[in-house]
Amino acid sequence: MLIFSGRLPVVDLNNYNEGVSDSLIIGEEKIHSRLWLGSSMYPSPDVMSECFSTAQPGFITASLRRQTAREVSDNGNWQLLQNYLQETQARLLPNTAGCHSAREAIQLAVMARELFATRWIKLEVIGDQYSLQPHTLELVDAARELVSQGFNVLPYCTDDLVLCEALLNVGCKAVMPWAAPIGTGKGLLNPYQLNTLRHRLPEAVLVIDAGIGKPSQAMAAMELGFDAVLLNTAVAKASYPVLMAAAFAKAVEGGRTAYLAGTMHERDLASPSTPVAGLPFWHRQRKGEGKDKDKERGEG
Amino acid sequence: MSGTLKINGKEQPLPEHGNLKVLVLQDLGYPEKIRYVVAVNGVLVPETVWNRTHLNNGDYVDILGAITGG
Repeated sequence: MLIFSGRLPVVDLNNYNEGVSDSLIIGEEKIHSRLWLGSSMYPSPDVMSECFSTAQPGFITASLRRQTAREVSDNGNWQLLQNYLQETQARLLPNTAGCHSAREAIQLAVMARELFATRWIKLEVIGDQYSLQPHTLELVDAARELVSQGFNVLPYCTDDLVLCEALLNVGCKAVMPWAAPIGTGKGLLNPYQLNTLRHRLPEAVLVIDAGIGKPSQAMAAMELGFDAVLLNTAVAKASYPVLMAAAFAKAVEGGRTAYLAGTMHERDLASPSTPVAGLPFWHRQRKGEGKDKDKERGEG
Repeated sequence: MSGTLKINGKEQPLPEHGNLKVLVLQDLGYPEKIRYVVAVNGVLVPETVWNRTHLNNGDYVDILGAITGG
């Protein structure tokens, strides 16, 4: 649906394509933004809050750890995060970061559900401490059990197609393949495989989780047709985190709009964008080229 | 009663009362109005049953609160 605002047509993304909504729905719940943010490593709690206010993330991730009585009482970050969540549409997404087996992840997820009062869980089971690569076998076992316990499981996984299918088949609401190892900021290391995921799993909710370092990389993921992007370090460790949060919000929105618009087909040969017909009198026929052939060429 | 507990990974004497609620709120001084969760031997113990939970020699108690995360 096009709405004309001034001279430029503006696509109303909530009503594009004759009333079809572009809302992101996961597990029958509407997620109001396709940019999801972590809550770690910001220079201060205030900067974190300002980043959230600027980016308006759909989910904000958090975790849980052993704490003393004093740490529980003096938890300023958590108080700020709670306040933000109460005042906005953002949802909390607890994670099972640091777990290395299905058993550990299940235990932590159960405690997270009790602590945060939510069924959402970002399931992390690490298989290699050096690369933080997910343990694909333990991940599926943990996902199966947590789904049976009523969790909305969003697993952090690799970009392996068969793994993603297995996770969806055990009832995960979405799958969240890495673009690159956590915290590296290397962007989409294997766009071919990510593109394959999108085409082979057209109905699945696909979220890029980990490895995004720049807004252009988030935009590229969205242009491929991924449904959302989850990141943390790229914003928290930017020179100006709030400004970077704004940049990511625009990139994700731009990438999504481009995906909906449908990008042109790439081609190997140049093709003139300026019409050839009506070339002025000084245009000369090149030596050895016929008129018809000449018409097919153009310059910019 | 004698023995030990591991509380958040640190070994401590098992208190005479052996009661989880007394341990958490009185002995360790955790607040009542702030959310955190308690597990005994890796199993979540809802707050509603802390008072009925008896601790034994060798049990490990984990008390977890919210932190930031990615």
